[in-house]
Amino acid sequence: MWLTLLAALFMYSKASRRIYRSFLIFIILMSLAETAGNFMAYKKIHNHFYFNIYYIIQFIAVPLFYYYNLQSVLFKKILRIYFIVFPVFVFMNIAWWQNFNQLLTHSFVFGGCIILLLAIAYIWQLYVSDDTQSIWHYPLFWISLAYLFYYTVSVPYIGMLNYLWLYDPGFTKKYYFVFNIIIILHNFLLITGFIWMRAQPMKQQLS
Amino acid sequence: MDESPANEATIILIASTALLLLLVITLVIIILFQQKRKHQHRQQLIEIQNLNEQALLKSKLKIQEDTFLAISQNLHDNVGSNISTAMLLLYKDEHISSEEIEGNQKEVLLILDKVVDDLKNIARSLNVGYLENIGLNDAINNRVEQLCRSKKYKIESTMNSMPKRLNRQKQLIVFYIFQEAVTNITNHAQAKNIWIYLQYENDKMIMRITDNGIGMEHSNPEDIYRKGSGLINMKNHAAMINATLDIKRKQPGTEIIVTVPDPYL
Repeated sequence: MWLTLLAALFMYSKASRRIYRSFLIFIILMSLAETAGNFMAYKKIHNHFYFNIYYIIQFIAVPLFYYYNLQSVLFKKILRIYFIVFPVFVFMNIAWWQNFNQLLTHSFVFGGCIILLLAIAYIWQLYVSDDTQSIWHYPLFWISLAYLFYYTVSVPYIGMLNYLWLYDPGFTKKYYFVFNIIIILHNFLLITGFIWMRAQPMKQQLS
Repeated sequence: MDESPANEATIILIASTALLLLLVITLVIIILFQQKRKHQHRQQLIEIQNLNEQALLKSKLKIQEDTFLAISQNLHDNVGSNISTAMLLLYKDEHISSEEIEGNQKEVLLILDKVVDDLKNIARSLNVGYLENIGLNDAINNRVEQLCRSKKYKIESTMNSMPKRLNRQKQLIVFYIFQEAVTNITNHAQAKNIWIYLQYENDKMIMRITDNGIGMEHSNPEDIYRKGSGLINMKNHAAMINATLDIKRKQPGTEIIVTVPDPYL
């Protein structure tokens, strides 16, 4: 995570687009916030409310980033609806199903599924595009892969986390090891994406 | 076996995660594999396009070369000889009467008029966008005029006016084929008559070039080789614009038929 933070700091000035720089700022802030959250856990301070805020911000910011990068009108419409529905869902989640001091797993599953869908949509967009550049050269391809792997593992895990903590804390702790491997992979893919964010030399056009 | 809810939950978690991961990995592998194939296909298309462009450039150079050759012949045969004649006519001798001098001067003026026309034609054909500016019909007509002036051939050309502007690339290739066919006739066919037929239709154009020369079977082996490579070149160029090129043996002579589909697109 700190490597991702350093990579984001390093690539900020080299990023070729404004939207990339905004995303790098978001990653820097989220990495710092996550460090603070982990420090709270280390100090045995209850941090679920803190991570609830962290994930709510993430589930708004990441889809917003996709909103500016996806070309599909349908997905843009879905996202506009999502930006209204998600806060309402979170409010309902806090008001009726779970309280703010425990992880809002329903909201996590909802937001996570949306990001999974957006990541797949973006990879599909690259696949069907007529661009002659290789798919590897797109930063968002790597970022989408990062989110795809992260949420594929975390949605079922965090979705069941409250239940698992209650009935099988031993397994939950062990499974956290698998989750950490995915977090490492997620960060590695994010860094690869950041590297591709730097301004590419223009390809020589054949006239 | 312990069938507690916690165990069930862990099984569901592991199974669903494994299934989702498998799906994601499969999807990514398929997309990457397909994208690689698509990328290779695109690269091949670009290479073909580059090869076509190179061939087109070669055609342009060949047309230019042929034009320069025709110009040099024109300068030598027409302009040069006309100026020499004019100089001879202007030569004053004490034995020439004033009436004769007056007649000679009138003839010189007519010759110079012809020279000016020839030079104008040469200047026009030296223009870079010659073919594009004057169009295929006029370019062919100019070449026909040059050939007629050599007095070696009797040429009949029939062409209707084009309904729309021809596609630049197709026009260039058709003119290249025409030049190549005419060069073959003048260099190897020993023909006296040439017939040029150009017909524009809505969805195709047809060009026929016929001669009454010795034909392929009576040419000497070296000529057949040269003609053959010229014919292969013409066929290759025709293929570049999806046109067909047929060669028919006539009694006597040869006929080349070029059919270009969608010549205006």
